Amino acid sequence: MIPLEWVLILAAALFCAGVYGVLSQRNGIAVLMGIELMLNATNINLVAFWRYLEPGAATGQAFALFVYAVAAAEAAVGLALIIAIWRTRDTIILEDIDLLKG
Amino acid sequence: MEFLKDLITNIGLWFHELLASTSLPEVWVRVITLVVGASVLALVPLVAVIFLIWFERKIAARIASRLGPNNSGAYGGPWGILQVFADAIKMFVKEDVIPTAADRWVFNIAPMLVLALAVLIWAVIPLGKGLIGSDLNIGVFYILSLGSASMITMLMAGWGSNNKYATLGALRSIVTLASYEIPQVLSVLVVVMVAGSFSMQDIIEAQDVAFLFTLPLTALLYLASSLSELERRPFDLVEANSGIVAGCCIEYSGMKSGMFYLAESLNQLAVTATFSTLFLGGWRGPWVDQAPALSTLWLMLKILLLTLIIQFFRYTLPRLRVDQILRLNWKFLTPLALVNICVVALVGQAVPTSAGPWVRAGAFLGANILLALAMLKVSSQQWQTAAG
Amino acid sequence: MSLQQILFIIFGAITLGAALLVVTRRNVFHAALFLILSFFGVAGLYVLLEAPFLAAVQLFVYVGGIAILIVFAITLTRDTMNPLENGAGRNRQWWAAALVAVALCGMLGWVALNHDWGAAPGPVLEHSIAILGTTLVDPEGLVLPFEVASVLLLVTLIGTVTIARER
Repeated sequence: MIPLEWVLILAAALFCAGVYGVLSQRNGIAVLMGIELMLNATNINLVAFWRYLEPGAATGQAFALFVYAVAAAEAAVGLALIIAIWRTRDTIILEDIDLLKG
Repeated sequence: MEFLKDLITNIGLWFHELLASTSLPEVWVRVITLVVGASVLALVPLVAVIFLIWFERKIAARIASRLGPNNSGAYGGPWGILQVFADAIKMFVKEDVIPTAADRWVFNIAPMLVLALAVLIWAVIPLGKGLIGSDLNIGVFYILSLGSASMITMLMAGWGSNNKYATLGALRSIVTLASYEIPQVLSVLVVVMVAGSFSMQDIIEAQDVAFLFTLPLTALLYLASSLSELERRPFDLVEANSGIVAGCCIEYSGMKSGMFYLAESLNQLAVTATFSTLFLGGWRGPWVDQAPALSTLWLMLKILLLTLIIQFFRYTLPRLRVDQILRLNWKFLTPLALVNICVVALVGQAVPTSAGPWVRAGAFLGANILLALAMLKVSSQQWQTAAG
Repeated sequence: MSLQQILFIIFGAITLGAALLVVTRRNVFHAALFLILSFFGVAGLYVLLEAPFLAAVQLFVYVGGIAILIVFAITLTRDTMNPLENGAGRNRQWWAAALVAVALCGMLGWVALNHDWGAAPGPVLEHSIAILGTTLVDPEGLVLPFEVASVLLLVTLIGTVTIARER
């Protein structure tokens, strides 16, 4: 049996890789990839808690399915925004998209 | 004779006992049996594909009033079957050209990945009564998700070639594939709903009447969307030889392009096997209970019939343009698939299970026929107003 | 070390290794490919956690949907003046980001290790997929979030097409 702590630590490490990706990347698409990593880590946590604490109910798996739906929606909208930004500003490097700055 | 009646299972049991009688520990015996079983299972479709390629060329030739391969140099073998081996050897000895500015890792891994994903599907195809790699409780869904995951290999091939036309071809084929997944999944969903389970063996067990006769519209939907997933005629725009030459795989030569071709044939075999499982009753047929080895024979006959039908489509129908393909999907197949689900669900609830399988089958068939008639009326009206 | 634990370590190493490579690669297309590898690793983890339906959904939605979207966006936003240098690398405060990430990981790991998670887990039921299905459409179950999710996806569809349209 896999100890629950192992799964939780793995999910925490994955989440923090996503956090690093979001905070440190210049490319907008790389930031979105970090967000997807964070959502995956959350899903692993949900499924692990479902398996180890309440395997008879379906709530854990259902919650994970809703996270999938929301992640797909957010990735689609985020990428559409990036394509729209590319069309107008001709760059997707986040540091150069600073029209509202100052 | 008893041994022959359940041939393949008995061979497996004999092999397991042979290993167990040696002095290896129990864990090793299991691991070796599993590895040998998995290798044989992976080899079966590869061997079948050899026959399939020959079959396809013979049918193509006969439709065109030609003879097809019957002489490959010195000796063609009976009916030219050695021609396929000659082709394979030719592909092995061709030079492997890699474009200078290509992304090497991505370029080289793409064909391996596409072949790996094509072979992985065969773990859940039931090859006979009791003969299945792994009877997953998500059997059909596993096949669908692997087919969906194999889209990324096309993108890798297109990107890795560092060639505008390869990338464009990859993008166009991904758009087609992603669009046609929707009617494919929705038609499989109808079958799962009626059979009550995702597992392939359960779907076969639930087919006292083959689903082709109770759900014909769903079968046609699945066939049409799978033909597009396979990029076969009439949807094979991306490999149109006179147009964009092999789509995403322009820059591949030698064995790598052979791997793409092999993966496409494997996928076609997997789609025909899935169609036979979902709609034709898989390995079911007369005398299967007494002699389970016959079940494999019935499955092979059904796969051959399906392959014949797909080849007929290939060599008689013209190609559709990409905007026609997408219009067919979004304006026709997807709404039809959605309405099909609703109608089958309603009929399934209205006719109780206690009425017996034949009554239920008849109810589904009636609902399907009514839906087909309604669809024909609506679409003929729509096309009349569009044209006139 | 049972077989399950060995498999968990293998899949965990694949997932975590690929994730770290995603956030450190300069070439954004390679980063996307490593992201797909980590998605496959996560699908393997779901199978180990006895949720095979979610593993298939992961492959379907993430690899066959979101990853394709990401690669499309990368292809459409390529800097054609500089085609081989696809991506941008780290920004000026990457060291602060690394510090925050490591601190967060430490905190989460400390909480996970020092909490008593209770007794051994019970078995997963045979027909857990059927239970999931009935719960999602049960009026006393989760039908409301299910319908709201479908409305969300419809709104997303319309919004995405509107935002990314050619003017």
